[in-house]
Amino acid sequence: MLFTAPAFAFVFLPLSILFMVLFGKNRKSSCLLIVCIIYHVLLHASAPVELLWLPLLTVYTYASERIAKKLNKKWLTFALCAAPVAIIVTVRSLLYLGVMNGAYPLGLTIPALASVSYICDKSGKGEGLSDLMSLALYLSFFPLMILGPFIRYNEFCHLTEGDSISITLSGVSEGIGLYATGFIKRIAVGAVLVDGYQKIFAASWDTPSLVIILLLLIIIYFGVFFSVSGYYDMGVGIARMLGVSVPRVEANPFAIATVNEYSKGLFGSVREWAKHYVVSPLCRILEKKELSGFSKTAIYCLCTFLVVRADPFMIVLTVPLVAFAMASATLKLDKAYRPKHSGLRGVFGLLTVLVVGAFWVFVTMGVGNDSVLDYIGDITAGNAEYQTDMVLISFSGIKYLFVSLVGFCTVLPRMRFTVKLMERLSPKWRSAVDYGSMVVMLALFAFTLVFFLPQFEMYAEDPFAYIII
Amino acid sequence: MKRKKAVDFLTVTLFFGIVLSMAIYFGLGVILGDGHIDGGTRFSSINKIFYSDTALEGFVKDCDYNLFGHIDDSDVIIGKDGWLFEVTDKENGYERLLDYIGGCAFDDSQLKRISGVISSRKAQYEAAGIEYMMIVIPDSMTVCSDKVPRYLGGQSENTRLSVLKSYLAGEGVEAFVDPTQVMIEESREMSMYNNTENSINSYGAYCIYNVAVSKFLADTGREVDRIYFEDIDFFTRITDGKSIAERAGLAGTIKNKTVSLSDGMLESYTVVSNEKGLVITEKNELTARGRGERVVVECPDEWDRIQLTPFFSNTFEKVYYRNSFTTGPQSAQQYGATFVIQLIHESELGMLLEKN
Repeated sequence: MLFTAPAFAFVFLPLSILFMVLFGKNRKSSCLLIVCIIYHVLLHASAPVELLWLPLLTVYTYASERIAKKLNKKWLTFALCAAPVAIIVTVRSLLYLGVMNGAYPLGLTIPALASVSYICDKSGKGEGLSDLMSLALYLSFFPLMILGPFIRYNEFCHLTEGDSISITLSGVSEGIGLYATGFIKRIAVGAVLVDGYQKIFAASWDTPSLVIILLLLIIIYFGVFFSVSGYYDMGVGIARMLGVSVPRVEANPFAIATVNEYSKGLFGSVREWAKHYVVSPLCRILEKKELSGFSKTAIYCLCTFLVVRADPFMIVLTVPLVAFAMASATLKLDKAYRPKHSGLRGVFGLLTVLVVGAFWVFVTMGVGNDSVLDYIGDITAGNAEYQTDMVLISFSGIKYLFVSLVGFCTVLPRMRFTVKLMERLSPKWRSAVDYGSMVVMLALFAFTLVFFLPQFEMYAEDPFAYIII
Repeated sequence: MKRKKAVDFLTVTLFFGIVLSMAIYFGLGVILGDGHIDGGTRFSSINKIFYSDTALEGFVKDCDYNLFGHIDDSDVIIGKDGWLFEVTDKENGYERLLDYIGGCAFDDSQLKRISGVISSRKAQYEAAGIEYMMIVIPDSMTVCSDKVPRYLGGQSENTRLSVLKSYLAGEGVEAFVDPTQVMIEESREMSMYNNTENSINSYGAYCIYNVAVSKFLADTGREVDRIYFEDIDFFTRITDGKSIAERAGLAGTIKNKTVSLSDGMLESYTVVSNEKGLVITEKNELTARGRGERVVVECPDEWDRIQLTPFFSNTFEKVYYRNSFTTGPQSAQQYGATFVIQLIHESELGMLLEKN
């Protein structure tokens, strides 16, 4: 029961908000924990064994932190932190490589990363609350459990302790805005684009012409971007509806010019986690103030890609992307260095779309380098006209135009020039824009529910087609 | 501040209005249904009911077609003016689109083989004193290529049918008749095909009949009471979409322009036998012209027979309609036939390679 599942949107979400409003006045954290536990039970109803993961992880994390604090040995803390991550990496690798059968259970990765945060932060600096209930809520907080955004334990405690959890009209409204936007991004844009990618790729398998290759790269780039960023928006939106003001993830696919910016925008949580719990400890171990840019980029990319897909081939795929990221870093193309638009940034932006698109194309091809080599070997360059016709048959220009427009509408309010424009508007006009955008957003949400959602049943159970979190 | 509150209030109200309406609609489905589909819980049944809701499915298909001009079936090509075409003919293993662009024409050895099959059949019938011709019923994409979407371009000159026609003309095989050009010229005022199925309508059947009878008269010099266009009362009515539209789940959305005959034409002959694979008709009133002419019409399918019957049965004294390729010269002789017309769909030309 994921955030795009009808049962979640129509029943679980309204009921959980109602539950929080009715009973959460004095026992906010307890009520939130109850909602999270119910969600977990419903999520894993079909595979009850998976239900054991979170309670076991909670107990393990709690006990580990105590042991690490008591014994105060760096190597022990490292080993205790590494254990849950090692377990999920092993399980994922074995599943990908076909050694183990079955599907990777949902909601394992982010709690494992959160567990590391708790052990490190609590045993090292003693930050955050020490009770088991706060830890249980942190690890089981379902809005952020599927994909993130990842929040460090001490930050989570700030968001949930005392009166921080508050369900207000504006908070719920903001949450609805984010959830609806995320829903539209995920289903009406991301799912449609990825589905289109699959159909076009299948139709042009033998004879990929340059135009079709470019089209595929662009479609998969935006398809994945909107799918992932939609999930962030939904997660943050649900958290806010439940009264937890999780900061939202700002990601604009049209403003990205480098691989660094792409990975920050889309997998910023993993980077953040890697920064605190991989890079910083490494600096301490190596007794360096800071790691080199190359090392940091490589670590961030590797961590991100292993979260996306954990198999050895991903390490190979990381190499060209790290090289590309290093090239943009050498040219100082990141927004941090060049806040203003420049021609070079624009060119690199286009290149990034193609490079990242190519990366996703390889990810979609399945496990191992054999599938990529098979694909290249199968290219016959024959029947080009027929394949182009087949692509055009499955391609609906008006639909993709509509989807592009919808995608642009979801990003527009967060664009810099829109924010500036809104600031310049008179209160009367601003209010009119607020009403207008609310109506458009809800109309699109309703249309997504009745038109796009019924076409993508798989996303009720799987968050993404190719990414396994 | 008040305005902000009003927007927030409206957002919350409308959002929960939408989701709760859906909850009630699909929740009722769970309550009124058994609530346990495939062993799932009552809660997860909402997902199953939502994704299997036929009303929603119909809405999605209608919207997809009407708003976006798209059908979620890669085997269907959306043509102009409500026309639908198929990419492949799965029954005969024929790649229709590939042939349309000239991607699967017969090679020389195949052409030679087909030429041999037709010549041999012609010779066998001639030896029995029977006129024989093989008429192709072209695909709708061939005759109505003006309805094919622009991005597919015009039809190739290297299609199976056009290559075979040229080859047989060069070989002097006259028994093979391709009415495509006549049908294209005659279809300017009225369509000869159903727009939602690859099948001829009454007007298309008339055109094929006309080509067959004209050739028969020219080859034999005999006389029959042939039917002229002016004698027929065709009428067009709008019906639900046929097989391609049905397969796409859009039979109610994409209508078929059905061209039919008036009932009067059906009264001039009698069906004397209607067994499986054999239908025999006799003309009610015989005139001097056409007396004693017995014809065997080998039809590829039942639909073609139904469309062709009023024309052939009103022209010849006795007509035997049989399934394609089931009749040989011996059985035609037993019927006392003077003329055998073998009809074959363009999509079935490949079958000639398997015949002796």
